[in-house]
Amino acid sequence: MQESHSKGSSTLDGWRGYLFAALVVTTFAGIGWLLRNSLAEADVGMTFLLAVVIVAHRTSIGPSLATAGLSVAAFDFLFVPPFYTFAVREAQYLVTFAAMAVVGVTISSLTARVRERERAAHEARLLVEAEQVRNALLSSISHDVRTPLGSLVGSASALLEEHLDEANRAVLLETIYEESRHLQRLLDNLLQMTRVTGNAMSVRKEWQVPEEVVGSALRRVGDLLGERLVEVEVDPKVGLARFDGMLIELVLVNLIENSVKYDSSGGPVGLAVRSTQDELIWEVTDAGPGLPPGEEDVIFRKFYRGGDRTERGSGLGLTIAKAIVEAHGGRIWGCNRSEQRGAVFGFGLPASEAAPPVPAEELA
Amino acid sequence: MQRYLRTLLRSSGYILHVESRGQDAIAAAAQHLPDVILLDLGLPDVDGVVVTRQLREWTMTPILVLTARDMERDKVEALDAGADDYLTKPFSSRELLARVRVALRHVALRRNDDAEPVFECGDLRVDHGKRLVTVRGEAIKLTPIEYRLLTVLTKHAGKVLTHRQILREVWGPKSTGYPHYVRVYMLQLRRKIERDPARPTYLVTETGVGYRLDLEACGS
Repeated sequence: MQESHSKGSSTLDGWRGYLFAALVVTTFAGIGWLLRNSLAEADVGMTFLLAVVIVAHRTSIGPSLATAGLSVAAFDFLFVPPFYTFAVREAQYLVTFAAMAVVGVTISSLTARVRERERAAHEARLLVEAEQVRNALLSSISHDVRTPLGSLVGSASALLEEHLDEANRAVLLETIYEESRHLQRLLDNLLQMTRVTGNAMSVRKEWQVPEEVVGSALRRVGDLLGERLVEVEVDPKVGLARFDGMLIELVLVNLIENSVKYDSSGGPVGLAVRSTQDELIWEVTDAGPGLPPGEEDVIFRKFYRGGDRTERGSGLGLTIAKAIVEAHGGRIWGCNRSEQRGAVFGFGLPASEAAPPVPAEELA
Repeated sequence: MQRYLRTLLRSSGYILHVESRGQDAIAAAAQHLPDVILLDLGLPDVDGVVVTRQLREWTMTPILVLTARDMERDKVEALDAGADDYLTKPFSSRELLARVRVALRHVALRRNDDAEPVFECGDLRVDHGKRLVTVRGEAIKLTPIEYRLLTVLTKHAGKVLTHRQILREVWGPKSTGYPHYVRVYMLQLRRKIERDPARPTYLVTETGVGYRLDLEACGS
């Protein structure tokens, strides 16, 4: 998509166009001047016409007309007797100028029209693509929303209309609560998705304490983790790091949710942070079934879901994580653990800046 | 939302005055002098942050702002403008009632004295008079900044404090401190107080906003 558009950037606009025109005319005049003894007057005229064609092709109407004018002037000054004056004895040179001007305008407007058409085609293609993405999004959302909505409507109407005993009422109320929480998570994900994949993702970097972000992420997924064992390991050498705390927390939340979702056995979740020379590495491990071979990359695609889609989720969590990490100039990966069953999802954030000082103080 | 809040709060024994517009709310607050104000930041007529500011011109009544998930900036702005706490929609009834209780508690405290001489929450005990902090019965040593940080949090126990508020109260109004000072000292404080500093129960982070001494840790 982007390659075809870059053609447009070869158009020289503003003062660059005029500079280009002057350069081309000077060059061609120079060449003509050097070869003046072996070229007929008409050949020199053709040389200048070539200059007009070249400029018209690369620029717009203004520089093309300037080229035509400059060419006629140079032609007149250097090649038409009396030499080195702008005096013109015959009206035929006016015709030469007119011809050059017409050629210049025609070619530059033709080129402009072609470019415009290319741009229109490009935009139309983008629109079609955006439309396809939107349709995919809509069909996916409406499926994901309808299911919990169905349970909500059903449970609520049963509570209103049926005579149920206390135990059954409790079950239905529980269902309503859980399904609405699910809808909420889905909506949050969609909102985040539009935010992080839009052009205007704003990354607000501040000096953060990674251990704190781990803590707040774990707090946010507390309900989901339940009694599951969580092993946190933050390398004591990890100091301050610069990133958007809210966004990186979201990455961790999404990775942990993902691990919990695909490890139904309730196995432990591991969370580790360590720093290498030029990166801050974060890893989330689980003891689940791991990734099917060859799926290490597709899992980050929009709406991709592992397994048989019975897992509840939006298929957006990892895509959001990837977009956020990449907006930080980092990298993200998922693979199977080598030492035991389970998957490990990790990401690295570049650590290029030296941490700022924090004034020390004496112990009380 | 209004119906839900009405039902919940009335059945919990609170008396309610409800207004739908910001300007009416300010007038109603002046007329009824409530103990707590719940302010939805998404008002039809004026910016909720402006309402917060206008209320703060004449009243110290606790203001609890209600926000949507995509309004993080407004949240911090409202808190810095003088709101006492916030709740992000959707919130559970338990969360709402807990926040209202914290707000009322601070009203009562403000009437008596500024800080409680002894703050106790779960395993944590701060004796301001003796300048003594004990965790699980053991005295711990804090640096002056750590102690001030802890004091600020206990004074506002249960309430969220923004980075800016903490910087101002701990490092002084004229300090040129940065949010990462707070983060670094918070980490140190957690290492001395929390059982598991990576999963704090007392000093919890409100991402993008600040910190809160969580009263749920007190187990009461």
